[in-house]
Amino acid sequence: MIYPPYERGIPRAEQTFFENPVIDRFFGSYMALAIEHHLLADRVRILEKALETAGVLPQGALSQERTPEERRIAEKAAADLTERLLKPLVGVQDALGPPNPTSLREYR
Amino acid sequence: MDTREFEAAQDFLLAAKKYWTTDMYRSLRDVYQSRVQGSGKPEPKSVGEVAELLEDEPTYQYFSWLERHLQRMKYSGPYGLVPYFSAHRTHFLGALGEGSPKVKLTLDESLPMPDYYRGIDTHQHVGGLWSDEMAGIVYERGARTTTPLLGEQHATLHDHFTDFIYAGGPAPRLLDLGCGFGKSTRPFANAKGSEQVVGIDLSAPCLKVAKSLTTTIGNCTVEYRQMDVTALAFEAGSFDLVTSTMLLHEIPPAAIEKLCREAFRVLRPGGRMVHLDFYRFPSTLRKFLHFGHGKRNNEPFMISLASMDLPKMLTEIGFVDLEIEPFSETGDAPGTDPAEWRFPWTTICARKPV
Repeated sequence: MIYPPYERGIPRAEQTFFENPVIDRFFGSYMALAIEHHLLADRVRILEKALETAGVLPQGALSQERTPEERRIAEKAAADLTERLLKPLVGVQDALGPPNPTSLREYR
Repeated sequence: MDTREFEAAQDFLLAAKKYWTTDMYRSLRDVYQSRVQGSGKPEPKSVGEVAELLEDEPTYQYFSWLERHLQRMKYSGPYGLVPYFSAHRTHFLGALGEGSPKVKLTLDESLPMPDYYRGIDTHQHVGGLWSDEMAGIVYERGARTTTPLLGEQHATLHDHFTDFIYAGGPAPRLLDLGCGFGKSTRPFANAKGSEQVVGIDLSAPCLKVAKSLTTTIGNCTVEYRQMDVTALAFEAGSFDLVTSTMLLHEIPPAAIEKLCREAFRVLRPGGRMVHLDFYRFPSTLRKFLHFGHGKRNNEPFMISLASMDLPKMLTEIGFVDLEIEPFSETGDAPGTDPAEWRFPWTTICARKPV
């Protein structure tokens, strides 16, 4: 049998693909950031189109100082974003995978 | 996470997977060929020899990383399928239709889940296909992009396979093993000549989705039953055809042998067994990447299936007329080595002697 028995509840090693696992984790953060960028770009694109169509965006509106409520919302958004960006660095696997190493050198 | 964010993130991940499937695969193939030529040795004949050439290659390392982590982000993390559907649990469970009233669903709450099934989160689907009532809905959505280049045409794979089977003659009484949410079963339920179609699976959440999605059936009966494929609750000689699609690579070798012995028992004399799975490889590089895919996608039995001597095992059970051949999901000539990453589809056919 190629694989040992599996048992839930026992932590399994993170799958890594680079000589230095730091790169694995950093690249996870990079990809998470890329997704966030895509989501933001998606919303900005729709928003700008709607504002342009309606003619409701006053000159300089996007550079004014934030209200306390706007600041609270922005801080919450920043906290959420940084958690998503940094969580991959801790290397926790959500789905349980095979417990053995990833090399294929033993196979014929 | 709202629906718009979820859909935009999944769009991004699918776009990245398409890049991985095409441009990145071709870059990796070019690097591999260059390394083979540079080595001054013959083309590798084993997976291990390819590993010696490629495992320290940055393109392969990024290829591997993306294969594992694009799938991880598809299923879990802030915009994954599991958290999204869990957050909208009431809505999606309530939206499940009843399916055709002619379709029967029989669940077995006492059925034990095998250790191999409980111990691995297959496809990186957190909690697997069995532990949460949402698992069938999540899996159905996830499977839409299993073969990214096919896109919405993925269902035609099952139509092609059904046509392939029926080209070998009618099969009025048909058993579909590991039917999941019914994607492989529905083409049989609507095929001319079907009289009794039975789909079985371990997963109750998937079977509920199967019933819901089976809204139209032809002139036949359709039943979904929760059952282990290694212990079939049917009389000997009950079926003209036993089939499965993408099941064998999800179970260990001992279970595959039990499955085939049970299939032999429930087939009538002269009945056929036809599986669609992954077994023949157009090149050693493809085999190497397939073995890696099995590890990276939490499907370890891909490797053990590919390492089995299926002709020997099937012959020992008593099957005859064995045919194990490449299968094309797109209509290309089977067995060619395409310019994109693809599954090594293979049909495994055998007959119970008359």
